[in-house]
Amino acid sequence: MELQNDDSILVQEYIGGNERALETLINRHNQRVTSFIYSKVLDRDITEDIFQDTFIKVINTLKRGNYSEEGKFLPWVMRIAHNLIIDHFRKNKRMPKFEGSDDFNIFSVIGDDKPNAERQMIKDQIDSDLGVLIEELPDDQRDVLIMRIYKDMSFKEISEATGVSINTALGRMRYALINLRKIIQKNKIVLTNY
Amino acid sequence: MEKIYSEQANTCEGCTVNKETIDFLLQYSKTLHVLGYKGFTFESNLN
Repeated sequence: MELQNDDSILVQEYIGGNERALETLINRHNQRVTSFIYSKVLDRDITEDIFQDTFIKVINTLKRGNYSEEGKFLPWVMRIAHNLIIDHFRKNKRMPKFEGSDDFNIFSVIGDDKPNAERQMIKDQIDSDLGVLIEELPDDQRDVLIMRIYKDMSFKEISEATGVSINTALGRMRYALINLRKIIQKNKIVLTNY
Repeated sequence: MEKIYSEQANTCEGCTVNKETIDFLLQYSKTLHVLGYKGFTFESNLN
């Protein structure tokens, strides 16, 4: 009870502009609050962060004049810390963190799908070479191939666009691929990425 | 609220935050100025 009165007095002094009162309050409850936070998060660095965030909220509330003195300073601070601990766990649950060890590295199991710079350059070169080869095809076969591969059109859409039947469009596509292979073999072109 | 936290808590010996953290909080408090004017509240951190 006496401690609560002391806290109330210090709080009033701090609100009145006495910064030393805040220092006394923090030092007085440092171990209590820190122990509480650490007992939940079990990490020193996170404990420091949550302790800091807790008292930043305390300072903001006191300075804004939003604190209602009921002789319960410490429970109020502990409640703030408690809520911040909950926020911490909720955030970690949304974004779980995995730290590898010497024995196991998660990146040996999962990888980035994007090609690295070298592979991207090779891919770009192949795409460019393929574009040149496609130009060698007869017009009707080239058009169908471009519509199918590059514009992702269905054969129904291709037949409507070119004014031919679906079977004709299918046939042109088939011959386009056959002729493309012939061109590649004839010119002994190598199109590989790996 | 008080019942949640026991008076005799399991406090670990020497379990306190770094001095730097406390210094930061004190500096933050010194620089924080809250000004109320015509129903508005202005907050600023003055160096």
